Amino acid sequence: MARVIAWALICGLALAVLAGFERSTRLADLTAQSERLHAVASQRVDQHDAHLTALSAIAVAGVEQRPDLFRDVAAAIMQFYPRIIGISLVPLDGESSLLEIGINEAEITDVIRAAVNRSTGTPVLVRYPSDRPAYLIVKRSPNSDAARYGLALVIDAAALLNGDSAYWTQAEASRWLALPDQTLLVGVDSDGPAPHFVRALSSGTQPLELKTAIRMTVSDVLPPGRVAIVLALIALGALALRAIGRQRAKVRAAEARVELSGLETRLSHASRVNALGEMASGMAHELTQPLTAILAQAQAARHLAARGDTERVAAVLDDVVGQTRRASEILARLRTWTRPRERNAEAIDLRECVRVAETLLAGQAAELGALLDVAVPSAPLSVEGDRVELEQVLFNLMRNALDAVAESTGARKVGVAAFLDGDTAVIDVSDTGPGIRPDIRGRLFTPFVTTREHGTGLGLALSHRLVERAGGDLTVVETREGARFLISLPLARTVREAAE
Amino acid sequence: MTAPVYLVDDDAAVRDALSLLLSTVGIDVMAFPGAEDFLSALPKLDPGCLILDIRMPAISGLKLQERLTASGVSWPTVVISGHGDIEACRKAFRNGAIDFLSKPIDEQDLIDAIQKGQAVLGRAAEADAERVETMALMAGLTPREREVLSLVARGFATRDIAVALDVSPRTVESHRAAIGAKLGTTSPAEMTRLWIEAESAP
Repeated sequence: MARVIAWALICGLALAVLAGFERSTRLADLTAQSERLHAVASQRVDQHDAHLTALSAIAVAGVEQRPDLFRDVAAAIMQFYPRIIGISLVPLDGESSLLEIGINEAEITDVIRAAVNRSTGTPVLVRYPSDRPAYLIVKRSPNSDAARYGLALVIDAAALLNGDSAYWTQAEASRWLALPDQTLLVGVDSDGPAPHFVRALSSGTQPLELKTAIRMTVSDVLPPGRVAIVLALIALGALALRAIGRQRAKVRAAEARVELSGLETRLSHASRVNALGEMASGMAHELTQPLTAILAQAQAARHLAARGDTERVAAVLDDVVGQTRRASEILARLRTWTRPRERNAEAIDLRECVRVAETLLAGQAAELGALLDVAVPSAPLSVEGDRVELEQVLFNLMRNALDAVAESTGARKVGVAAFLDGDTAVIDVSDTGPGIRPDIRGRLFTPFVTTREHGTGLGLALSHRLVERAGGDLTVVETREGARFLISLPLARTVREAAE
Repeated sequence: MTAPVYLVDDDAAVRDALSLLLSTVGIDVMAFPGAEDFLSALPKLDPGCLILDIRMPAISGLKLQERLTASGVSWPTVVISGHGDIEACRKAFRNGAIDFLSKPIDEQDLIDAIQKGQAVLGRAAEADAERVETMALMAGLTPREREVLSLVARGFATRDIAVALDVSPRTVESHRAAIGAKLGTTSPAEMTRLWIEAESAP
């Protein structure tokens, strides 16, 4: 909602700016046109002074004798200057003949005479007494108190303003021309808007007042085309802003991803270091046992040898050999599991994997007094996978089971049952330990989840991944007592095909 | 006099090898594969020096140590460990271990530790014997003589004792003479020591 209001405000503001701009453009246009009109009109009225002077000279020189000369000149002037629609020479004594060119109206003569009487030297301007938008410019001839004639030019005010500019023909533009006494010559009174341009023509004799105005409608100040462009620009701007915002969000997301992947890298490194630490710690402990025995046996043998009890020395040395083998087996196992190796998928017999794990853990089971109950079918359970990886999975699960029953005060039994279920080989590993704590049951295969004080929480996570890599699944099964895990692996293709 | 040595370690090879080694230097060892086996045999065992492995399934060496302390068995204990784990070491000493050895264990370190343990046991035995003797001496006193001795031990003079017991000073003197004859000393300080020893005995 707030966003809509914001956009409405922005659009309104932009349109207001556009309207203001359009208005000022139009006013500037009007002013320029008016200036030009004013200049042209001022120049034209100046010409009237020249004509008056020329005609007055002819009249004074002897119009009585040569009225034809006056007529000729007047006709020529009117021909060249069509706005001059009439020329009148009115004798003031009432005796000489009246000369009128272009006009023929009796009352004009009286008007001219009255004007001459008012004249004090400067020409007098009078509204032409008809509907035509014209005025009279009346001058004494000669221009003194001893004037004999009243000389008048009748000027069409509308023609005075005519020009080649199409500007003034448009309906919106208005112009007025008035005599200095505000007598309107051109234009309609109280027509349209207030004038924007008001200036008297720059003429000493005819300071006619020129006013102009322009009417502006909404569509003038807000031309639809420009409005469309402005709105389109705003829309484009909005889209661009949004695009920029999205791009920024993307960049931020990418940065977050990079950070996260850095975190993951560190985590995986930490887990490797941890796993290595755990393995090293476990190996150190396992190696310590035979080394402790060997050291003790060697020192005992030295005492026995000192006594010359060679028979017992030989027996002790046999034990030393046995313990040394035990140590080297531990190291061999470490090498097998830690050497960087290519995963080598092949058809393997799961029964053998079970046997390997059983062999490795038999000693621990015996020490715990735990029963390691292993049941495998008589036929091979051939699956496709990496032998060492699957041995590791079985070892992990069985060792976990043994650790679990070690905490048990009751029966200590670890059951391992391998069997065939349709196309799937299944190994069921169960124990009589305290079971899986409910709070970690759902996160059992998540790395770093452990209940052991020094556990890394990687054993089950790794096992899960290794079984999945072999195309199988490792699941935990609900039981009343202890814990139970199921490894299910698809049978190797060749075996399935042979069966079919 | 050598006290017996008990070894508890879950690794058969280690157990056998350490037993063999100690037997070649004349120390007899009774070995147990786990804490439970030791605890079930405990009632029949004479006080001896304990060698406990820390890392064992079910009950660790440290837990066994705690259980023994809780049940009033305070035999000298040497803790052995495959890890040079400082935290475990700290716990072992807090539980009263007399030594902490890292596997593999050098024979001399082990023998030294056992001898230290046996010395502790010897001192305890001597103290026990002394206490038994004192108790025997005390048993020879009459109730009245014991009363007088308690007042002597508290620092009262003969006259004060006479007033307290409402008898004549002479009678007190004769009691003191009898006590001196039975305990074999006339020194009030020695009498006091014997009395305190007898009183602090369980």
